[in-house]
Amino acid sequence: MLYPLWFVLIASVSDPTYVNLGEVILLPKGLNFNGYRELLEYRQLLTGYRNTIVYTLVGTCLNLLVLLPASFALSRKELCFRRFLMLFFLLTMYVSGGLVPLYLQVKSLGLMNTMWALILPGAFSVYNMIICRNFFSSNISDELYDSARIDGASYTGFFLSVVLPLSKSIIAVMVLFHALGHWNAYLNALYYLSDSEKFPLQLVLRNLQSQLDMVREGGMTGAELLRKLNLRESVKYSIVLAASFPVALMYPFVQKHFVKGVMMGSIKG
Amino acid sequence: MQKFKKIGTKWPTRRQIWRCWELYLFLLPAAVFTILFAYVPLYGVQLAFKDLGPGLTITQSPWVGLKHFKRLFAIPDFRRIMANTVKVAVYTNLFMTPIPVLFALMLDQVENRYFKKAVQTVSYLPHLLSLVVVFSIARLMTGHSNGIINVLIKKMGGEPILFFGKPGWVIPLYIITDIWQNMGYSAIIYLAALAGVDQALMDASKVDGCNRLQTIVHIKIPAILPTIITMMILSWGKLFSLGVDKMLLIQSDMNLKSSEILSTYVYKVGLLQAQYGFSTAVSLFNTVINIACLLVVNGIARRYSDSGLF
Repeated sequence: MLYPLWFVLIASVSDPTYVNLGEVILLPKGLNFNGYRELLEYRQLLTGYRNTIVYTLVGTCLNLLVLLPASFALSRKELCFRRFLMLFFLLTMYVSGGLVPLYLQVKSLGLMNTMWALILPGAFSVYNMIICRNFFSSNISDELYDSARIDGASYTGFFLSVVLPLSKSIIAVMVLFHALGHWNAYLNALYYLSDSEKFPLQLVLRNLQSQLDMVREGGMTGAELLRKLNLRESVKYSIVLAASFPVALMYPFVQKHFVKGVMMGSIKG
Repeated sequence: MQKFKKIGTKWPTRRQIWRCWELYLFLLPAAVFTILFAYVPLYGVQLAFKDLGPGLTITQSPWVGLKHFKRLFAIPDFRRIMANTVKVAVYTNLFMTPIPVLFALMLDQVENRYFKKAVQTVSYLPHLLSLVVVFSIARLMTGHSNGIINVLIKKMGGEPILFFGKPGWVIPLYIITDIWQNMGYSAIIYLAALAGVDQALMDASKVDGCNRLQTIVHIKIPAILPTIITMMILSWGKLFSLGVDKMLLIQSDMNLKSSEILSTYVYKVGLLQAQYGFSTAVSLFNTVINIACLLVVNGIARRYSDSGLF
């Protein structure tokens, strides 16, 4: 399972000549960090990094602001037309207008080429709403609400001061799911963004990979060029790691929530 | 609270509705987003029967009947695109149904708790990586002149293979990356089910002289069968809703013959060639297949296992 990652890691710190000869298999050879140093030269990569961090933060906050209140409302049995409202949301999981109508809608809202095109269309996830709703229905008892009500709490007060503090685990899971989704997304950017200054990291990575390939196929010679090409090889490896490094860094802390999230999702709604 | 118990069977009074006005406020943002980005586009599906005129909105554009559908069924590539879609969908599901189960069963046999935990933790790490990263790694490892796999092939005296350039490798690449990325993650749920197997049953089987394999076949597999069936229904129900994101990373001009599937075709004609009406028709066609498939799978599941999706 780990080998592909390990291979990329050792190849990124090895001398590209050895990599090309296939002598880097288990351990790095000709240890150096030129690939990473070169990486800092790619300005687009840094912009991509910055963009992705912004998109992830803003996107995840918005996701949760929309998701949590809605799931809570739908978990309350006294909500009138609850079945109809659920149907209203669930239906969108099965039928969709397809790519072009959505594209035209994003366009007509004037979101093209803005970060909002990446954030707003997916702002509300029905699937995660079901998970949260199930969590709320089984963890927030009616008695709890009744007693809060007697103490004079409104729904808002109850939600903010009782429900949210009791739901830390599901909130953690949702933050993780949504943040990961934003971090890894490239498709919406491909659809809606044309200004490369706004590209998120994943799209930059995708484009860079093919760019680096093309230069390689140019088939030039000379010692200086060879060195450059070699450097490019290292860059290709280090770039992959640079793009997934934050995720890997978070992994030990989030993996517990990860499992929890799967289990919560598996409870049928 | 008692009097609210029966809501749903009776039309609620205005007072009951008014009572939870805050809850409606809670729902408002979600509803707005759903309308804006799901229902408005859904209304836009009529574009499948229209030609979007220059400067016209979807509603104003002229109807053209089934023109786009006729064209879709007439294009020479249609059969190939359909065949590719079916192949990728069916093969992926064929592999992704049993492999996580097998992995879970194997891991379940491991006695050492720490080792088990470590393997499991590592196994779902790839699920966190983005598709772009996964395919970057795949491309690096399969590079023609210097990818580790081709280097090894050459060392053993074989001819290097252009993995991303051969139509025949599209489906293997799709499946192998899928397994690598999702096997551990999908196994989580089976491992949890396996952990819940009644210890008394295990002890009884031991007394009866079952060996390991017999315990697995007669106790463990039946115990997780409901989970397997549910997961199967879920995955087979969305058989044809193959995303565009993954295939787009495999696709190149060289392997187009077997990497063009419905969703990538929708993207290509819709956004790259701006044939809005035609693209909408193709995606509508895809949606109809999805729903039909979902209903069929759900019907089968209901008949044979009384654990349908809805």
